Amino acid sequence: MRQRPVDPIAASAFGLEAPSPEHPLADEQTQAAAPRGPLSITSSPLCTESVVDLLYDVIDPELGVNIVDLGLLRGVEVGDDGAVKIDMALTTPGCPLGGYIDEEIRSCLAQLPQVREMAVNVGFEPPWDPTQMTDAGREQLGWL
Amino acid sequence: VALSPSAAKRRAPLMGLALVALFAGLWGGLIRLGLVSTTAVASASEAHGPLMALGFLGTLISLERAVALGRWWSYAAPLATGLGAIATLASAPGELGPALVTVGGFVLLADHAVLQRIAPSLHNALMGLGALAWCAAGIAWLDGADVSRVAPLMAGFLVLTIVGERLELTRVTPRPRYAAGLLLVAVAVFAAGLIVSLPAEGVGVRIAGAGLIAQAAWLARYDVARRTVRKPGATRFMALALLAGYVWLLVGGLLWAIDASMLDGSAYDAQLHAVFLGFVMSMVFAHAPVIVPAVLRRPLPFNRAFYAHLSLLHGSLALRVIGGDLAGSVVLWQWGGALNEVAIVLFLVASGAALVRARHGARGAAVRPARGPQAGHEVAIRSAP
Repeated sequence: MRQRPVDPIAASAFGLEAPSPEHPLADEQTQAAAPRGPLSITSSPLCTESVVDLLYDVIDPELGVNIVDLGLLRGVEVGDDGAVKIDMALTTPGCPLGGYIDEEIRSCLAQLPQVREMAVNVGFEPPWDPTQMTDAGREQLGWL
Repeated sequence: VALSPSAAKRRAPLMGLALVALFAGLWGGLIRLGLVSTTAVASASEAHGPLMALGFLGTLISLERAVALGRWWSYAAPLATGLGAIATLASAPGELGPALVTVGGFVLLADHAVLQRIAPSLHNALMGLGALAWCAAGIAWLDGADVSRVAPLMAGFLVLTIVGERLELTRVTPRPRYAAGLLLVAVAVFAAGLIVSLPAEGVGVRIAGAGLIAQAAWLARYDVARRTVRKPGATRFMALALLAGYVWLLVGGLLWAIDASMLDGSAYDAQLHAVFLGFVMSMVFAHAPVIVPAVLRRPLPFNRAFYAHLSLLHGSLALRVIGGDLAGSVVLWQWGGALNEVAIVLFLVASGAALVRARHGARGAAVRPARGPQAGHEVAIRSAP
């Protein structure tokens, strides 16, 4: 499977560092050699980067922009036991999209068989505002 | 992936109540169009407007809000409203139906009061104002006012709710500082018209019509749909449904402002259905792929076939309003009205089929196929093959 490099802005938002050249996810040659398809994920250990990478596939259907670039992802914790905890925000407490995005996240991460347990927490503090979007998200919505 | 937690199962009957109100409203519509010879359940015809606007949409919207808020008591709104619709249909004594529907409006108002305390915002305040319009409509209906007098307030509930939701979404795109102020002026004119319509219907409806025109213009100028219409798949579908809805809101506003006779007749038919079907139902069609999964915790994947019911809705409404109401052809009015109902039924069938297909698909495929960055959109909406 082709992995997307972790967006440096999104990565810093989660307290992560963008993948170093030594990191397997950043090694194009390693990826090219690896078998394509979801199984390639199973060969790598569960890490925050692989979780975040899949979360780029969770799209707000109304905006057509993923939750990472929208700045809705607040944090990802991956435990040694395969427990994944995701903290995210919604643009407003009255937004009905929470259940939808929760299901999308669970469905996306089902691709990682190493995930044994999953918790998605939705919070509203600090409130979301457009400055929390990444440059990629802002570009798609006409800010840049 | 657990797709149907117990909470979702508890919500399904409330969705069922909304559908009962919808089918009753559709039956009432057929009687009004003169397309059925029997007048069985004539109460559905008399209460066609409240059944559709409050019984169906009020139950749906208050259920959506209860899901978002997550408070147990919030579910009293869709429950009371849905049961109120059934009581209305059964012509229950003591005005039980309108009373329960009115209770639903007040619970929704309480939802917005809580939301305002959690995170004060203009968009939530507008939706709260919409809930207040529902309460006022309920009280007027309970007081024995003719449905035609209640109709502007019911439109107020739905228009303000939708405008509030759209305002919230415009935050993701750049807009000038004065944009929110412009919308406030438009809403103030609309609200003033609704208030004036209670003692002086003719004048009030004209003023409210000006407010509708201003809100439609604001939405057409600042809504994010103008940008997202360039995206593929579900995003474009939703944006097109929204933009078509804004055209009808503008048409509705013009009809309210030009001919304010909120009385039975062709003008009345056009004034109401431009807003309730052209604008509001188009919003429902647009958001079903998002709202249904949020409520039922089941995926409703977008399918290109959804364009069939969307285009039928708008095409048949044009036939009804232009050929029927404005040109005066009873046959075109009946055809348009009947096809409006077909579009709604088609929407239900297409949505139900997508839900079932997704359920079988989820059983058959534990892992979703990998996608590249540009195809990510299709991953999230789980497009049908």
